[in-house]
Order: sequence, then C-alpha cells, then structure tokens
Amino acid sequence: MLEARTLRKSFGRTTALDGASVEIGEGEVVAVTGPSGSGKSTLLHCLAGIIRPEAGEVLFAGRRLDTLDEDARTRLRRENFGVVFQFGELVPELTAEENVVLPLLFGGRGRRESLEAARSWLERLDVADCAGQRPAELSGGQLQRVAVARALAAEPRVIFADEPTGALDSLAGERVMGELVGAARESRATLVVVTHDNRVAAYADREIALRDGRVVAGATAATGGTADGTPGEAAAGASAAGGVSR
Amino acid sequence: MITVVRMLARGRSRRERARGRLMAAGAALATVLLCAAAHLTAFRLDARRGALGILTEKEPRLMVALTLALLAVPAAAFIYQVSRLATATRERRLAALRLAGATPREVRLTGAAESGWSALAGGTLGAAVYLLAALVARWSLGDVVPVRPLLWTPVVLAAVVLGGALSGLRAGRHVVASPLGVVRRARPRGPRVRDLALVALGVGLLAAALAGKGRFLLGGKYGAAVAIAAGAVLLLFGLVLATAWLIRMAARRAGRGAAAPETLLAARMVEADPRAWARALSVVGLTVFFGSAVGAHQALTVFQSDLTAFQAASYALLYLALLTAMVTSAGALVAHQAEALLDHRRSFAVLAASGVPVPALGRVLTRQALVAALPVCVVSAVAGTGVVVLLLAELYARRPGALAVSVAGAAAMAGIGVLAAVLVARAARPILRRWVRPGELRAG
Ligand SMILES: Nc1ncnc2c1ncn2[C@@H]1O[C@H](COP(=O)(O)OP(=O)(O)OP(=O)(O)O)[C@@H](O)[C@H]1O
Ligand SMILES: [Mg+2]
Repeated sequence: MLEARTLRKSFGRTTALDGASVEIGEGEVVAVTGPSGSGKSTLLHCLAGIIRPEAGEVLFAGRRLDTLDEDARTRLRRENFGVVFQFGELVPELTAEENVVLPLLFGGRGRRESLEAARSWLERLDVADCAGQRPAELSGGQLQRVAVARALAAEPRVIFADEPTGALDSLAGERVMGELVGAARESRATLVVVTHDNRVAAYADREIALRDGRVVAGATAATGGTADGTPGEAAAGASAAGGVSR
Repeated sequence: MITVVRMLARGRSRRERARGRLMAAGAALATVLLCAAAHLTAFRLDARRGALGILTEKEPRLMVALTLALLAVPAAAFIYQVSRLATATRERRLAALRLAGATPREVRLTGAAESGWSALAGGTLGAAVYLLAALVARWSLGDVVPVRPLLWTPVVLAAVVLGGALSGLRAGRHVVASPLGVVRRARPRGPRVRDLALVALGVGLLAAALAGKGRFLLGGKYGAAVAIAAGAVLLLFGLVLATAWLIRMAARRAGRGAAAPETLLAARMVEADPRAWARALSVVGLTVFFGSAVGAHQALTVFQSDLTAFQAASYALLYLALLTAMVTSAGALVAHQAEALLDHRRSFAVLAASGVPVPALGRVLTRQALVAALPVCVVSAVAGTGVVVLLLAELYARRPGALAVSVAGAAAMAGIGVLAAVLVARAARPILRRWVRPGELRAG
C-alpha cells in the first residue's frame, strides 16, 4: 500500500533520513517512534508526499509518488491522504465546523453535503457542541479532536499524524488517540502515527523504530525486527524502551 | 539595558527581521511624503506673490486646503499603518521575555528601541533620497523650487522616529499587562456605532475651523490650527473605525452565502481582522473619495471651453496631489498585504500540506482584497460624488450632462481602487508560493 525504499534526505549539513525503508499494508495502524531528531517527521512528510527525498523511492498503491510534480502530488494528497498535526493547526479565523468543511469544499463537494459530513464527524468525535466556536476558544483536547475530524471527513485511505497527542495531558491524549485509531479502523484506513509516547505506540499493530535516520525495527509487517544492517544494540534499545510501558 | 536589546535583536527570527525591514521601508516612504507635503506648503506661500495668486481667490483656497489634506492625511495614515507592522510576532517574543524575568519597563523600552531603530534607519534613507531629489529639482527648475523649507527635513525625520518609538512603546503595552495573555488571542471586539460619532466630530471640528476663516471660537488663529489638527486626527481614527465596521459587515455577508471554499476562507479571514484591512483601505478610500469629488467638480467644466489658466493650474495641483495619494494608497496596500501574509503564513502552509492547491490559496488572497475593497471603494466614490453634487446642485441642474460624467468618473475611481487592491494581492502570489513550503510546518 505504502512503501519507502532507502530514503535519504538532508537539510544543510544535518542528515535527517539516511537510507530508511518501510512497508505499510492496507488498513494497518503503525506507530513511528524514536528519539528526538531521529527523522520521524521527515519520514512522515516524505511518505505523505509533502516533501521529496533526495534519493530513494516512495510508492503509494504501487505508484511512484516522489517523482510526481507538485500539482499531481497535491491532488493525490487531497484525494487519498489526511493529516493531523501536533498542535491541531486549525485555521484560527474559521469555526470548528468550517475547519472541517473547508477541505471537503476544496475537494469539490457541495456545501450542503460537506456540512452534513462535517457535523456527523464532529458528533462522532464528541465535539458537536463546539461546532460554532473558533480554535482560540477550544481546549487542547477539543482542538485535536476537531483536527482529527477534519482529517477523517474526506474519508482518506491513509491518515498521517505527527505527534497528535504531544501537546495534551495523558488523559486527553489517550482519548484522542483512542478515537483516532478507532475511526481509522472503522473506515479501514491506514494510519501512520509519529509518537514519543509508548502508550500511544501500544495502540498500534506495529512499531517502526527510527534512529539517526535509519529504521532499526519494524520495517515490515512480516519481520517486525531489524530491517537493515544496523547494530543490534540500537534495536535492543528501541525494544527496551517499548518494554517500559508494558 | 543595551545588553537586553542586543540579546533580543539576536533573538529575532527571520520573519521578524522581515517585519523590521518593512517598517524601515515604510518610514522611508512616510518621510519622503511628509517632506513633500511640507515643501508644497512653501510652494503655496511663494505662489501668493507669484502669477497664480491661488490664495487670493476664494473658491480655490478650499481646493488648496483639500490638496494639503490629501497629502498629509494619507501620509499620516500610512505611518500609522506601517507602525502596526511589527507588532504581532514581536508581542509574542516580548511576552516570552516577561516570562523569563524582564521587568515591564525593560520590555517596553526594548520594544520602543527596536521600532525606533527601524524608523531611524528607514527615515534617514527617505530624507536623503528626498533631499537629493529636491536639489536636483532646484538645479533643473531654478527659483520655482524654494530651498529654505529643506531645513525642516530633520524635524520631519525626528517626528517619524518619534512615531516609530511610540508605536513600539504601545506594542509592549499588552505584554506588560499580561505576560500570558498574548498566547491566546480572544475574539476581537466588534466595531461599534460609537465609532461613527468620531467621524462626525472630526468633520464638525474641521468644518468649524475652516468656516471661521482662520479664526476659531477659542484662541483665535492658534485655536483654528489646533482645531484643524485635532479634527484631522479624529477624522482619521474615525474613518479607520468606520471602515472596519463596513468591511466586517460586507465580509460577514460574503461568508454566509459563500459556496466556494476560497470565498468562505477569504471572507472569514477578513471578518476576523477588519481593522487591519481598514487601516490600509481607509487610505485607499480617502483617495477614491477625493478623486470622485475632484471628478465631480471638474465634470461641471467639461462642457466649458474657456478654462482660465488659474483654474487649470488648480486642477493640475489637485491631480498631482491625487497621484501622490494613489502612490501612498498602493504603499499602504503593499504594507498590509505583507502583514496579512505573515499572519496567515502558517494556516496557508498547513492547508497546502493537506492538499489544497497553491493557486486556490492565491485566489483566497485576491478574494480577500475584493471582499474588503469593494464596499469601501463604492461607498467612498458615492460619498465623494454626492458631497459635490449636493453642494453644487444648482450648477448641476443647469448642466444636464455633468451628472453622467461625474458618475462615470466616480465609477472609474472606485474601479481603480478595487483594482489596486486586487493587483497587490496578485503580486503577493509568488511570495505565497515560496512561503507555503513544508519548512513552515516546523514549530516556531
Ligand atoms: N526544514 C528543516 N530545516 C533544517 N533542518 C531540519 C528541517 N527538518 C528537519 N531538520 C533536521 O533533521 C533532523 C530530523 O528532524 P525531524 O523533524 O524529522 O526529527 P523528529 O524525529 O521528528 O524529531 P522530534 O521528535 O523532535 O519531532 C533534525 O536534526 C532536524 O534538525
Ligand atoms: Mg517531529
């Protein structure tokens, strides 16, 4: 469904991705973990076609994604992908409901139909009461649930989430995470979620561990172990970190 | 203190440096405009002795007053607009400083020093450019261009720098009150009907002072000068507030009925911050107002072949002022567009990342300009024409074609105003394209 082969990406002198490879199946829920600066966000952005790797390939449904031009990638993102950001990133000028409606309208749906879809998603995520409020008037948890509704309303095939609960306390975070995973499973969407939090990782079918721009564990569903020739120490460290929460 | 400022200057982000540069550019332009206005006043005084004798005739004296207002008011509005440029991001940084333990006084002084510095840099450049231009003009035109008023340049420069520093002091105000308050911006206060009273008061003061022919109820000559200045300032603030009111109403309406996502987003963005648009568009509105008024006045003479040299000169002066006002308007629009882009940068980057094509975001910019500028320009054009037609109703009744001519002129002025706003928005699209790159998604 979604595949990355030996991705490389650097910003100036820092190498963010250094030959990372992953394979993600349809409907899978995977967590991307690793220490700060290990390249998690960069990997996510490459997979979502937001940025291009310098080397390597990204395939979505068997099609090369990284070679498409900006227009084609934008269309692909709009039709197939949904994104949830760390701080929600709602448009501050719009109400919660309008924030959910907007991408649907941009996707070419009618106003009435979009409004109905938005309302039902807000209801499902238990934030229907906030529909008329602006982001500045919402709590962190509400904000994030609206952001999840926005990402899911267009019924994407893949949902990307970069630390969607990073700004929330553990209780609110767990609720949002539970709802995100539940909604993804229900609509049989693939979910790729970047996280620091081991409890969040526990919701996933699989954990992809990154270190220094390389995948050190969980590159494919089949192996679930070390992907490339990195020292076993890194992999052991990753699983030990995973073990703490369990 | 100096250490704090230095440390802060280093802490400025890329986009804040951009704001600093914009402020300097604005100060430069404002300095040039104010110098030109001061210089033109001297032209007028010289002309009293010269062939034109503008001041000796009655009707044209009003025109000269109009001309000067036309030059001074937009220039002041422009400084006001530009002084706002640096606030939003800076407030956040100053708040961080407060949390880190700086005293309110230090924070305020830091803000003042920063913006004063930008104003000084830009103002010096502007003054130098103006002096150079004036000397070249003197050299090529000779005696017509008086030199003595150039001695006022340092005064103008000092005023601009003071304005910049004061705006910096003001910027620190909210931060001083609540170090955490700026993180969450509440819904901005809606414009009130009371704002319209300010316009009425300003107009009243100006009219009373002008009608008094240099004398005022209190204080004679000086009273009149003070009344004129106070009236102009009141009028200026009142106009901005009234414009904000008008823009918000129009945007709300546009947002309610919007079917296209671009229009919805544009209308909501305008509705959320009508004041920012009002600051820029009140200058444009003033230009359209004056332009329509001048057009309506001239419409009466269109069918008249024996224009005196003196009338022709008056119109020439008016059109020169109008041109300057248009340049100022364009400057205000550009400054505002830059500010708006900086403020919406992150939203646009997020939308682009989630699959909204960049051309659609470009349309959001142009529709914002349309939603905000259309009502302002139409109202200004109607008002400008209306005032003259009502005042000179008798003459209009005698010349049936004149009304059609003045309406056409007003429509053209409104069109120019809207077009300018839309063109500035379109010109911003390459910047938008550069700014919606994913790098913008990184926090901070
Ligand atoms: N746009 C950018 N410009 C410069 N450097 C960047 C950029 N994006 C990422 N980097 C660098 O690339 C490396 C990987 O960054 P990335 O954001 O992918 O890490 P991360 O694993 O998501 O970290 P965190 O958990 O802190 O979010 C870091 O060293 C970072 O500084
Ligand atoms: Mg990250």
